[in-house]
Amino acid sequence: MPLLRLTTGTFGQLRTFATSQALGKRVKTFAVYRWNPDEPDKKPYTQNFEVDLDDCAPMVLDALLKIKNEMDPTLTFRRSCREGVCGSCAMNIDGINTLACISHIDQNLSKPTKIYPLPHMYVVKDLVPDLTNFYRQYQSIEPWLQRDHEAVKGKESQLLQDVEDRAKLDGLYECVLCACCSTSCPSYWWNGDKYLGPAVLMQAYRWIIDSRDEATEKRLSKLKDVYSVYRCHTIMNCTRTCPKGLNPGRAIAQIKTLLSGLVKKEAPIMDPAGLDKQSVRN
Amino acid sequence: MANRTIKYFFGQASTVSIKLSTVKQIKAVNSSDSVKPTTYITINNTRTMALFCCGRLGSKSVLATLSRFPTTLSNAQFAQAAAGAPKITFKKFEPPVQEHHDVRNEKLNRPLSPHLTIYRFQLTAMLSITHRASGMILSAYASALGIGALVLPNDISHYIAIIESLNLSPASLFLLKALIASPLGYHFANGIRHLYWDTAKGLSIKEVYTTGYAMLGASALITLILAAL
Repeated sequence: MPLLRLTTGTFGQLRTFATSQALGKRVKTFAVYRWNPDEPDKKPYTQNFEVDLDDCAPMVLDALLKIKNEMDPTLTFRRSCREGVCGSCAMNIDGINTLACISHIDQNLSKPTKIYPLPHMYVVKDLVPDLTNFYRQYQSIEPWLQRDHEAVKGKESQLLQDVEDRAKLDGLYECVLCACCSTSCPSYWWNGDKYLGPAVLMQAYRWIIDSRDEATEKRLSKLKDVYSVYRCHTIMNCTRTCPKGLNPGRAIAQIKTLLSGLVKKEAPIMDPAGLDKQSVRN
Repeated sequence: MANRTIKYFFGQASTVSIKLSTVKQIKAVNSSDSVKPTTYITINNTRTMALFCCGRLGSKSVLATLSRFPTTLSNAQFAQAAAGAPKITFKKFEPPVQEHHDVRNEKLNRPLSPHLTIYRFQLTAMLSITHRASGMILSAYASALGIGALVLPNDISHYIAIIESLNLSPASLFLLKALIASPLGYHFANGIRHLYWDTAKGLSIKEVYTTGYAMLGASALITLILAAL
């Protein structure tokens, strides 16, 4: 066993040596959208970068970082966690919105990988879109827990929630607000100012359906207009593109069933204020 | 005034210098729109500012203790500080005027990122836009029939007779009928799919694709049946 442990490293080294010899140079072209606000006369254009895939980690973000580090430091894009939990590096890669950090580089060397910013957004620079409107819309749905009687500061007690009620939030709370889905939605392209878009609506549903939240009626009545929800035509580009595998399209459909009265929000299985009442009784 | 350094002597022990510019920067941060302070505090007297800032240096530091007990200062200096008592003016907070998102971006000459032209053709969006197109064609049929019945001198059997008199081959007649019937077949089949979706069911991507292909088959079938009539 100690002998094995000694040799593992050696074999590993041998293997990388062998593969790099066998594969040689695999050059992939990346066609990247460029626009610089400091050169207002220059129209947006795509610039080609050639990256040796043998000398690059497997994800598109790795390639972008390699380009930025070694070829063109002016290339601008958002990134942070490099593992799909922050949602910063959302962009349009080969025609589909996704997170650059968790999408593999297409190994087909004959075709260039096309990288654009999120579609139909104002471009701040290169691959960075202006998400102000998106964030304002998120703010407009009041994404926080609302109770009829807020607990007195210092006397808060835990709100109770049954396992079954909690399960309703699965597939909703995981959203990282990368805006991939909203910017893949043609309805959001044409009505982005008034239609809230899939990402924000899924979060709206996340708070509507929460058994601890008591502002359900208020939340629903706020969405009751021609644009906020009903610009969704169930195109389902949102669900198709979500890099986290969530289903905003279904969440919107569920909001619609609630708005139309087809379905009523179920009463919480466990009284959220149960602990509070118990402490009063004791 | 802006960048002058205030030096304050605490006996001979230490010298505290605070650049006024840093103080101004703090104010600037407060007044930006991300943080919303309820009031601006403007302190006019430089000496009180120095005292104020000393106190902020740390709750346990020697400096903080010094500033809290100003008796360690010379009496004259303290008197001055007290005389020019801190002039704090309160101003009501006014939220910055929010520009419309589009207005602001157009002012900045920002381009819109490409959308329709670069987005990959996917079954989801294609079926949806076809649904809309077929709906429009159907409403065109309805209005053509309606307006035709109002305006044209002869009724529909007259025009059918004209088409029959053209003596088209059965194949081309079938094709023509299929062409006219296809929007109805498609819109009908996909309409059922949409109605099913409105109950918030069948909306996982897998189901969307299977029902999509099934719907295409069904619409072809409906079209063929209608054309064969």
